Amino acid sequence: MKEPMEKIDFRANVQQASPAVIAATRNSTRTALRIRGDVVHAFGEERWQRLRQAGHDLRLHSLTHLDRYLPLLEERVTAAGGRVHWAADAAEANGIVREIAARHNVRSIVKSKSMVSEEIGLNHSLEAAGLRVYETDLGEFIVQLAGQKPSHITAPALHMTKEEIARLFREKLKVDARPVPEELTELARQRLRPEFLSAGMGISGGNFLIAETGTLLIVTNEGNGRLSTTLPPVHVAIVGIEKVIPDWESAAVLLKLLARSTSGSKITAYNTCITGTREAGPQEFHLVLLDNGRSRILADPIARETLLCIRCGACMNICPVYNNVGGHAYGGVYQGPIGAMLTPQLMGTRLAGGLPFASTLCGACAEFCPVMIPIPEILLHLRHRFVEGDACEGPSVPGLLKAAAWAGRRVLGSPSLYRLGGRMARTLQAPFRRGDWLPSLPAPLNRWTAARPFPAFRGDFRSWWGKRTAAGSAVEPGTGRGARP
Amino acid sequence: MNEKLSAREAILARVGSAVGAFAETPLEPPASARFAPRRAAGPDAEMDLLLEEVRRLNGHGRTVQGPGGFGAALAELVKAQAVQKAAFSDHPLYRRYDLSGELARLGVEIVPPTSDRSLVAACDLGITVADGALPETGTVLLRTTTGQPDLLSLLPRVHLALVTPDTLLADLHHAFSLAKGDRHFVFVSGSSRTADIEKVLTLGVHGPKSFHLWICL
Repeated sequence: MKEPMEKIDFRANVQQASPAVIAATRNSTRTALRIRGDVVHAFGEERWQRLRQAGHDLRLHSLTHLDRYLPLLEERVTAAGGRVHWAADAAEANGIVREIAARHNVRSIVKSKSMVSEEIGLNHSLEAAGLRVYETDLGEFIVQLAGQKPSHITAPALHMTKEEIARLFREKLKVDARPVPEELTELARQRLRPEFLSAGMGISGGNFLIAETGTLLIVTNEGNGRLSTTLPPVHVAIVGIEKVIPDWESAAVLLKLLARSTSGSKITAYNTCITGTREAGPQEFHLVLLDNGRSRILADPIARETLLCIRCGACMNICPVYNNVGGHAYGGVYQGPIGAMLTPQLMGTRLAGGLPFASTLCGACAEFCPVMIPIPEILLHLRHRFVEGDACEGPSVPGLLKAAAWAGRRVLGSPSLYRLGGRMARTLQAPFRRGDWLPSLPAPLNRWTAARPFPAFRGDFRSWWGKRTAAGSAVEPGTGRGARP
Repeated sequence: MNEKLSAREAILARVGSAVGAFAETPLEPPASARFAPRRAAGPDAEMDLLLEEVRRLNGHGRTVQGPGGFGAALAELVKAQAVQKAAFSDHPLYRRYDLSGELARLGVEIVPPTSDRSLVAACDLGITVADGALPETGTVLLRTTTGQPDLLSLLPRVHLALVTPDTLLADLHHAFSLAKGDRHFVFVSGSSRTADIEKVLTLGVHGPKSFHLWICL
């Protein structure tokens, strides 16, 4: 993740989310959930669960055998006339694409939707090299025009209303645009058709890479994925190394899961299967295999399952947190529960370690996930990593909190210090005490008292218990259990 | 070149050490990762299902009976969609139906699929013959060849796919086993669509706005 290299402050981002954005988000996710529910119901609940299990086992098998599937894929792509490039990080991937563009004297590029290209900040890198880049997915086109970032992985402009989009088109495209989705879509079509026909390069992501035959599988509804990979003379696909699957049987299972979870349809409008180069197609096919932290995620047996993700977006549609804060609060390219898991692992705990805390751990996402990623379990694991550190990363909690945790452990771990602390609390509270309550406390404890008062310390349990037994309330010796007289 | 080689080696080494524990396990996916394909019903039920699913996708599905039925259906389509230019490749089915002759009689200009793509883009109608059809989802399988390029089903604003009953397939699994040796193929289900603006389904984004599937009996 090159672009947002500053620390992601979820709390601060949440405060910037406007009520209108949240309303638009909820409106869209509600529709998405309804149509997904219908199509899953029609498939049969029990059958759906079996399909999910197959998807999970398949993806996990692919990941744990990636060391063998990747070279197989490379061999098959190369045999079909494609060229395979390996990129360890964002800078390498961007460099590879720029170099291919320079070699072909490319001036303008059409792009179909790709999360990975957002992750590596590809547009920025290409534009800095003087190239014109057109996002052609309608949602991405809108977001690019607005100079914003996508707020949902499959519906990038989900946070915008048709009125806002019409205003944007009037302003940026200098056209007469009314807030009617059909008309706005037609305007985008007219604007982008000539670009498709004249672009020197097409860039795509990829939903799956099929090792068996070296095939790139792209799933789109709009047809922009087909146009970007058919019309320009050079096609570059940038795909994360985790997208490799063994064979076509696997593809059949995953496509059924993906279409239903993403768009609530039985199949996506276009499933395009590309193996190397072909007659009358682009003269060159380049596949950039991107690591960018994925191999590190793979090394952690618990966090590894993050990489099962097939980017359907169902987890964010159902997430109560996402629906209350909108996608931009997650700061990164990936939003909702998948963002809360993936972003800190890609960017590092230091920059994004707060995101796993942006969850209530209610588990709805895990029930919706088509490949059964144990999302709450991974979020807890990442919270643990943030606070305590693990084999992958050191702890990233602020020094003060770390010192407080250390002190707490010492005091609570020693009976005498604990008793002393109890007595001190009573003395120290005096300036703040108002009757039986502490209505406000100094920072950092004021975060509690800002919302509700704290009850005053009135004594310690041990002395209270001692007095109680001395006064004759019988306690059975040895059992510690109180007995009624 | 050396640098690229080293990126490859470095990534594969990291991946290898991450999953080293699985080095001895077979490369075959486990049985639990498989899902039994759908089984086809009888031919008539499958044809009905195909047409129903095409309609569900906001497409137009129908059967056409022989050259006479085809000619009548074509005249209807040309009129309804105000077709002035059409592009299609060469196929025995077209000759059987005298497609060129019918279109000429209807006053439609024929654009060869190999002409400049801006000419194909300016066509109103692109016609294809499907290599397979999936009734369950209202899908056609189009294997890209020089004779039938991808652009035919992509650039013109109306797409007509012709299906013969012998090409009906029960499930994606079967379609994949048929086409997986090809360099390029596409599954097309309905017309180009989006729901990117307020989740409102809108047909015809970058590809065809109108999808027609005829089962040729």
